[in-house]
Amino acid sequence: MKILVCVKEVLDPEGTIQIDPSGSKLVPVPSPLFKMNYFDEFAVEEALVLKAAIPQSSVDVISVGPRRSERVVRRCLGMGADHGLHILSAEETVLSPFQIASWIAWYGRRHPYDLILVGVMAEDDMEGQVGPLVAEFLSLALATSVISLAVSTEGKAVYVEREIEGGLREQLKLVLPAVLSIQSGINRPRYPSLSNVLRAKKQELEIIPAGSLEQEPPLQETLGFSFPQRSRPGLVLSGSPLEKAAALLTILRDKALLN
Amino acid sequence: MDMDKPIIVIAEHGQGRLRPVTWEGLQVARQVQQFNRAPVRCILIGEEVEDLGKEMVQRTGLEVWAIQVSGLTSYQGEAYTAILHEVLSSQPAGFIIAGHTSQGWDYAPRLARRLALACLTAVTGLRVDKEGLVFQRPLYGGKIIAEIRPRTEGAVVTFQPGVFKEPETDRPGQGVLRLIKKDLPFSRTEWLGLKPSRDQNAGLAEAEVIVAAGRGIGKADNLQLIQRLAALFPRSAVAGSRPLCDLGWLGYSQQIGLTGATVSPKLYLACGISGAYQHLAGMRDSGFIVAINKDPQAAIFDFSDVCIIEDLETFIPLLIEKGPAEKR
Repeated sequence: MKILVCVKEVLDPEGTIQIDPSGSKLVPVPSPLFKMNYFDEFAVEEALVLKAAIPQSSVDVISVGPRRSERVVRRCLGMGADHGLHILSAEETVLSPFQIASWIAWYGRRHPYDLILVGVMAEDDMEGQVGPLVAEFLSLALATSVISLAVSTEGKAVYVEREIEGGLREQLKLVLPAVLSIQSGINRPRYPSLSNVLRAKKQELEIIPAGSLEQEPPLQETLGFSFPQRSRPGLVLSGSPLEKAAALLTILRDKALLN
Repeated sequence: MDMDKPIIVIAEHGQGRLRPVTWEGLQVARQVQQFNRAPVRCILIGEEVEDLGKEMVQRTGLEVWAIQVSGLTSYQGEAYTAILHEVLSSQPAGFIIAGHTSQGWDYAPRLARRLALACLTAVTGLRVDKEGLVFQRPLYGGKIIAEIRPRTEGAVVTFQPGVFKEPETDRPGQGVLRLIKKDLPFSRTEWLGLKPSRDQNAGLAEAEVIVAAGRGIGKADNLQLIQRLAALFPRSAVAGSRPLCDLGWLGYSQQIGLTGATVSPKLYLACGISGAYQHLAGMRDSGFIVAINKDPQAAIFDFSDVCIIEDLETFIPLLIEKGPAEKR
C-alpha cells in the first residue's frame, strides 16, 4: 500500500501573535516559533500504523511551504516515514487551499497513491479545505473527520468511522484510492526516534520548486487582520496571585456561585 | 456583481428533522442580503424531504427546492456535491451558505471548486463595505480574525454554528415548494450506518458548575488540581477540551465542544483552555465564565466574564486554600 501524508508547518498558536500597524500582516513575538500542525501528527501516525500492518507498504510525506518547512518533513522521517517531498514556495507568500491542493494533486497524478492522509485542519488557518480539494482534483473518494480506519483484507477498500455531531459516528466504506482527513485522538502520535532522526539527517528530500508548477488564480483576498471582539465583559483581575484569588472568590460569592 | 443570482441556503437534516443550523443559515443569508438584494432560496436534499420541505416553506415563506434522491438515506459527500453542482450549474447561484458542520466542511470545498467559486469556511461574521461583502473568520484558535473578500461573483460559505442566532419568529410569506427528483449519483463511498461515538456525558448536563481543563494545564498530574477545585462547588463536574481527551488524560465523555458535549452551567471555569472555536461552540452559553490562562492573548478571554492571567500551578492552589467558606 502506497500512502502519502500531507503535512503543514504552522506558527505555534500557543505563542503570542501581533498585528502590524497597517493591519495587513501578522507578527509573531518575540520570535516565530514554528511547529508541525497538531492534527497532521495523527495523520502521520496513522500512516505508520498501516505501514506496520500491511506488507510492502510505504509512507511518503509532502509539505508545501517555504525553506524552513523542510523541518516538518524531516520530523516525519524521524517518526518513520520513508520519503520526504517538499514543494518549495516563496517566503512569506500566503497560499490558498486551492493552490496547495493543486500542487499536491499534481504530484499525486504522477505518483499514484492508494491512500492520501491529511490532518483534519491546520491550526493556523483552520480552513480544513486542502484534503477535500486534493480529493476533488484527483477525483478520489473522500472521508473527513476520520476517527477510526481499517483497510479491507484484499486491500481494495477502506472502512472508516467519521465523527459527526450529536455524539455519533458515521460508518463508511470507501473504494481505494481515497483521501482521508484524520481527526485528532484516532491514535497516540509517536515521537521521532533517535535512529530515525539520524537516518533522516542524511536522507535527501525531493524538492520541487513551486515556481515550476501551475499557479491557481487567487479567488479571494485577505483584507487584513484584527483581534476578536469581546462578547463578555472580560474583567481582568489585577494584583498578586493571592489578591486575584481573593477577588475571584468574592465575585463568585456575590453571584451566589459559591457558598 | 450580478444581483439576480439567488442566495442559496443548504438545509441540514438528520433523523427526519431539520437541524437548528438551517435557521442560522437563513440568518446569514439575510445579512448577505443587506448588500445583495437577491432572493433567498433553500435547498434540501435527501430520500424523504417533502414533509421537511413543506415545514421549511411554512416557517420561512421562501422558495424551497426539495431534491428527492431515492436511496440517499443519509448524508453522502459525493452525492451532495454532485447534486448541488448539477442544480446550481443550471440555475447559477451567488452565495451558497451552509453550516460549518461535518456535512458542510465535507462538501463545501469540492462544490466551490466545481462551481469555480471562492470557498470561505468557518465564517463568524460579515460586513459590507463600499466594494461589497467582507467575511470574517478566525485564525490561530480564534486569537486573530481575518477579513476576506471573495474575488468571485459569490462564494461557497460555511458559517460557524452558534454564532448567527436563529430568528425568534417564523416568517410566513409567499413560499413555494419545488419537488425535484434526482437519481442517486455514482459514489465511491458506501454509507454503512451510525453508531454512538462514546459514552454519553459524564454528568455534564446536570452540573451547575463545570471546571474544564485544556492543554495549558501542562501535565496530567495537574488534573488533580482541577478535581480539587471542582470539589469546592456542590453539583460540579470536571471536563476538558479535545486535546486532553486526545492525550487520554480525560475520557471523551468529558469533552466539551463541537465534537463533544454542549453545556450551559451556571459557572464555567476554563483552566488552561485556549478558546478555539471548536471548544467555544460547546460552552459559550454558560451563565458565568471565568478563564484562567497564563497566555494573555488566549481567545477564551474574549468570551469570559472574568479573566485571570496566571499560571495554573500557582493560582489554583490559592483558590483551593482560600475557597472554603470561612467559619464566622
